[in-house]
Amino acid sequence: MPVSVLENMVSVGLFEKNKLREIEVISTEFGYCYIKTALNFGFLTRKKYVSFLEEEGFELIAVRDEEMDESYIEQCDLLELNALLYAPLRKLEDGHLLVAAADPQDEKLKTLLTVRFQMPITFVAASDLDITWLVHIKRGEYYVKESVFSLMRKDPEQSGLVTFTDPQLIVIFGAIAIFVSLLFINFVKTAMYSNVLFSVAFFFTILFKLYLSLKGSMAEMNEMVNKDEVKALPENTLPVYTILLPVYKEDKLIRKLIWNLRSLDYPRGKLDVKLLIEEDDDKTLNAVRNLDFPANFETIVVPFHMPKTKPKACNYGLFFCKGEYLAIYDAEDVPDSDQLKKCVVLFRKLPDEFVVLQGALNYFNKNENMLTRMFTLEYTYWFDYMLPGLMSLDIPIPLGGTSNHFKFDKLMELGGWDPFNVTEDADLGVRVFEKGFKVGVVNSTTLEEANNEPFNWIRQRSRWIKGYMQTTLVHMRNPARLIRRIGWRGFLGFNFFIAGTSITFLLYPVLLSFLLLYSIVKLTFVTVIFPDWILYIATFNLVAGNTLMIYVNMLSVFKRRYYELILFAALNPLYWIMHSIAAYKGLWQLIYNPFYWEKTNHGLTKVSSSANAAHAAEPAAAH
Amino acid sequence: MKQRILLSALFLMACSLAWSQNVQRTFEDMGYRDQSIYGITGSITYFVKVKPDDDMENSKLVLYIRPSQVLNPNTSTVTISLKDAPVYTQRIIGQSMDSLITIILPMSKKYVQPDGRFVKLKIVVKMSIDDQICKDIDNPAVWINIRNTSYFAANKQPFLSYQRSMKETIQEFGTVATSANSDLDDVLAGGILYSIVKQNNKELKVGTTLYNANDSLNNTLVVGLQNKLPETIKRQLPALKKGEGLIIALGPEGNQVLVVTGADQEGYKKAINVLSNYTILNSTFSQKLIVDNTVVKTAENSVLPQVLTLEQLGIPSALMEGVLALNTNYPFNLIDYNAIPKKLTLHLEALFSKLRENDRGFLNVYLNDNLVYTTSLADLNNFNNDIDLPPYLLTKVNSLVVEMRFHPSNSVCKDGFASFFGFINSRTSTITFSGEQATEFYNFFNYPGEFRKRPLKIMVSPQLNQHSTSAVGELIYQINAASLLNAAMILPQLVPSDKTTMNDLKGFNVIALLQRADPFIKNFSNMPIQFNRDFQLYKDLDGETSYSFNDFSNSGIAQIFRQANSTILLVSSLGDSTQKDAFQSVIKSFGGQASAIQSNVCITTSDGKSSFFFKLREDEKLVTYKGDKNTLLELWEKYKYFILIIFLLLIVFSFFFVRKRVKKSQEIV
Repeated sequence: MPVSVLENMVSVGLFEKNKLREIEVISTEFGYCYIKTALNFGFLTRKKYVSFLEEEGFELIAVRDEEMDESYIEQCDLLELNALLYAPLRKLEDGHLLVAAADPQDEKLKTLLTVRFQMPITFVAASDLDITWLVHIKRGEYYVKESVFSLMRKDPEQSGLVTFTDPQLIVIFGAIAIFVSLLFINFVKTAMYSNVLFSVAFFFTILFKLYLSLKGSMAEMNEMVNKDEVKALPENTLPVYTILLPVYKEDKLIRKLIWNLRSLDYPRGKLDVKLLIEEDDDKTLNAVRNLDFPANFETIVVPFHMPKTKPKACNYGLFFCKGEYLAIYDAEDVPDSDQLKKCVVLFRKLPDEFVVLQGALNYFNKNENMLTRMFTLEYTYWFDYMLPGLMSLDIPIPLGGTSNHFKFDKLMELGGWDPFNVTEDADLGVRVFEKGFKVGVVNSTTLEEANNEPFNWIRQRSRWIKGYMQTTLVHMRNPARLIRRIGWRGFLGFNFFIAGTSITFLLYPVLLSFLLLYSIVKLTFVTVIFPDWILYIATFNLVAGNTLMIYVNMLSVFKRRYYELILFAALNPLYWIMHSIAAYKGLWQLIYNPFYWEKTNHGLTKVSSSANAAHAAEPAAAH
Repeated sequence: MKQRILLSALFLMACSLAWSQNVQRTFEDMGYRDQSIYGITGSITYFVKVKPDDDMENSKLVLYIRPSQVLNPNTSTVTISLKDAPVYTQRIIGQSMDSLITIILPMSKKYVQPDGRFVKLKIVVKMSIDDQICKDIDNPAVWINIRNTSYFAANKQPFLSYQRSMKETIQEFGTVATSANSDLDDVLAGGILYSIVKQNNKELKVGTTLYNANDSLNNTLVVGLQNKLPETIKRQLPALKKGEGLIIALGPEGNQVLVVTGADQEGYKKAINVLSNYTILNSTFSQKLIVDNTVVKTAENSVLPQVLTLEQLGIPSALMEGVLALNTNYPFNLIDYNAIPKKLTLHLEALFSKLRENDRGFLNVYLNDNLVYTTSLADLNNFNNDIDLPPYLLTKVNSLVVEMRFHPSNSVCKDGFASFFGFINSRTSTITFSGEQATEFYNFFNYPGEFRKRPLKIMVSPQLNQHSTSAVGELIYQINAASLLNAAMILPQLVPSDKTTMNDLKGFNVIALLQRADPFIKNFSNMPIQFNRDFQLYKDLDGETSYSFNDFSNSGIAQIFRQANSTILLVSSLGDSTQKDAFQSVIKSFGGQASAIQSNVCITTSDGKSSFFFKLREDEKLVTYKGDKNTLLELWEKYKYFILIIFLLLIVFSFFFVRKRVKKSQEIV
């Protein structure tokens, strides 16, 4: 006698029996009920499943609106509710317990619940997504609080909940007060010596970047994982690989997402994909519900809790992960198809201390407009030269928001992401180093959608720069301790990269306006605070800095054969003005709304990711 | 041996003379540079200036000659001629880098030229390295160099033992004394004396001093009305009639004074007029000159001649003999002129030995070491032509070298060799200045020439009368320093600033010696620096403040500018230093060689050690004034620290605000 919807479907010829056997294997490994596996591993469309239930006489109820006696659900663990897709609602007058289930024909579950609640069970059919939503809302409180406060409890020094500590505020405002006083007392000398300080700092930054780029260009010679190694990887030894996809109101991207996941070269049964959506994100939930082809991911609903950030959602997702390794992607990402396998090979090749791998990021819509071209140049240079350079110098690598691959157990040991940090990835990169672990760089590219709209770009960039400021503040609370943990080289690297980035962008318009005043308006005042020798340093910085940046951008362009972008490298100085706008916005938010997650709108591009993905990935892969 | 004995004898003689009053005048002081002779033979002629009080019998001429170290002593000689008669010959021996031949020539009256003012010295050399003279003709190692450290050591005669003109008498003093309550006549008289003294020795620091009725003065030039003079002098003066002036040397040997005075103001002015008349001063060989009538013979509106003979440049004609380069340097300076001429023409007349077949000969003309003309002398025995000299090569001080270069052919040499000779006729060769390049930006390059073009007034603040003798003297000296103005002195008219209006200055160029606080300064609206207010100058290049009023507590400032069709040179002092020094220092600064710099403002410290020249065009706005600050800036200065306190309070407020926001953002449960 059939004991589940799927078996019933097989019996009436609506489902293939061999698929059911496959589902059994996966369900056993993951601890899921069959229907969850079928719906989340690409075996069955939700529409087909609903219509079958309706044919069987199970009308789907709107479980989210149902009257509910929460004393019953409180007796259940969220992990089980999520895995078996049921939600106890209330006791009926006939003494039965009314339970909403994704599979109302699941006799095994009925037996289990009868024993648990010591009363007969009456199933009503409900959408698996609604049940997921309901159980996470009703029983997710503990987990979501853990997601938010776990790091703070375990290691308060590493938590970004406190943006500025009192000593930091005193140092910062004390420095401002001294600077302003000195300006009033001797404006010229103060301005002049500040200029010297900035110019010298800029000078060393330029030298450091040049050195890093050279190091990075040497690193590119050594391919970390080659195709033969990937090919030689036995499929049966592949571990379960979790992919976290935190999204918010990305309903338009869901179809793309499924196609992108399908193109991944990894066994379906070993791929644990979690789509993390927020409680109030019905748009995305309904987009998943309305798919007319099988979904290959599991939806996790993150209950509301401040801060409403991506790292909080990821932390929440961690409780439901099954994989040995874990990767983070954005919804619109198009990773190289062999990226997961490359990571598995690389993790196995590298020493145990390497707990994170960062994949290169690039853009599939690079030629859409000037902004996407500049973004592509920047990312190409960053991921192809800077990160390998940092890695070879053993300096903390600020992870890039997506395409991070973790060893799951180590990630848990690190305490997950800081939910209060809006660049949790960069922060985690530093924490990895502080704990004595290392970040590797994998020679695989994930194509993203480059921001093609200036305001959207500034929103995104302001969040990144704000996050860099947060990360700086968190880790510089105790500089001596940081030096002890990551050494002088790491400390200087951290300051040049994380702290220096924000400061540079904040200062850029100030120094640029000096330059313009001096060269265009010929303001004598500028010549007073820029004596010749400072002007020589500053001019060297300007010329050498820009030339270097343009040069390394060009190198990157050659590496990836994006020849059409070469001339755009010269527009970097203009591109930095946008950075500066974003930096000031970030600074304002850091004070006013530190944990606010400036949402980046995706899906604005008119370029098809799949078509470009193939084209874009080709040269890089060939390299 | 003979040579050594002669040298020893000369040395002993020199030592015996050392006790007496000895003055050394180097060739450099006389305007000569180090001069070299190249080739197997050659000669250089010098005209060594002697003065009336030089005791020629006890004076000597010391020559320093540096020879090539490889000359053959057996065949190389140097011969000295005085007044065209050979007096001394010796072999040339140069063995090391610093070999220096010293030749000491005792002087005698018989060597002095008929005019009594020069000794003609001719140095003739014959040099060779090889036995075969032909090989040495083009050999660059054949040279000799006559150093301009060579000198004429003059022994001075007792004061009354020789005849000299009144001008020469004046030039034997070094200090000018004016009355403690001087008026402008005193300043003018003192200034003229100062300039006459300085004409004789431009390096001399002429002293100025003040006297009172009871003072006793020695070795001083004294000016003043008879009734102002010190009693000791007044007693020695002859009786003067009304309207008579007097110039008289008084006192015993070693304690003389020369007095310029008058029975009354009219007489005094007559005496002053005589001081400015070179003709009278040069032709009066007396210790006393009573002036009852004078004709003012000053060059009020002097225009320098446009055509100068080479002789007027100070170099008389001389026969040159030898091979290779026979050259003569004609130095001239444009300090005499107001601006660079538009065209400069050299008319050259020269005679020279005709070249033999295959000999080569060239005439070269160099202006400031640039070859500007060359021509072959083949088949010629004279040259008579005009040569255009490029004016852009001119500076204030210039050197014009005319060179005849002869290269004998080898074949000639085989047959025996004879020197070439050349003669430049300095009396008929001329330099012609045509036109002046237009002056758009008046600067110290225009000084003093510009102030000779029109009648000149020197305006003096009344408070400065006692201190301005040296300044006025220095100005008169500089304005009259042009070598061609000896016949008449440009005598400025001195006016007091408190009794002068701008209208009075119409038609004149003006030099104003004013106190910083003199109200007349307000009339000079075109001054590059309104120095009566606190000011700052900015440097062009790095923008640093290069000068601010407080940087110098004692310095002089001079500015040259145009206003109301007059060129005005305003001289003043900054700070509270001895005003006399400040004025004199700054005048010496812009009047010296530094005035070649195109600048219109000069600031010099009183000690004369530091000078700053600024080119401040009106449109560049390189000067700021404290008083020019706008209201906002003044408020800023006044309330700067109050504003700072507000800022600091704002920072404290911001601190608490941010802190509150940070705490609030943590309220997440």
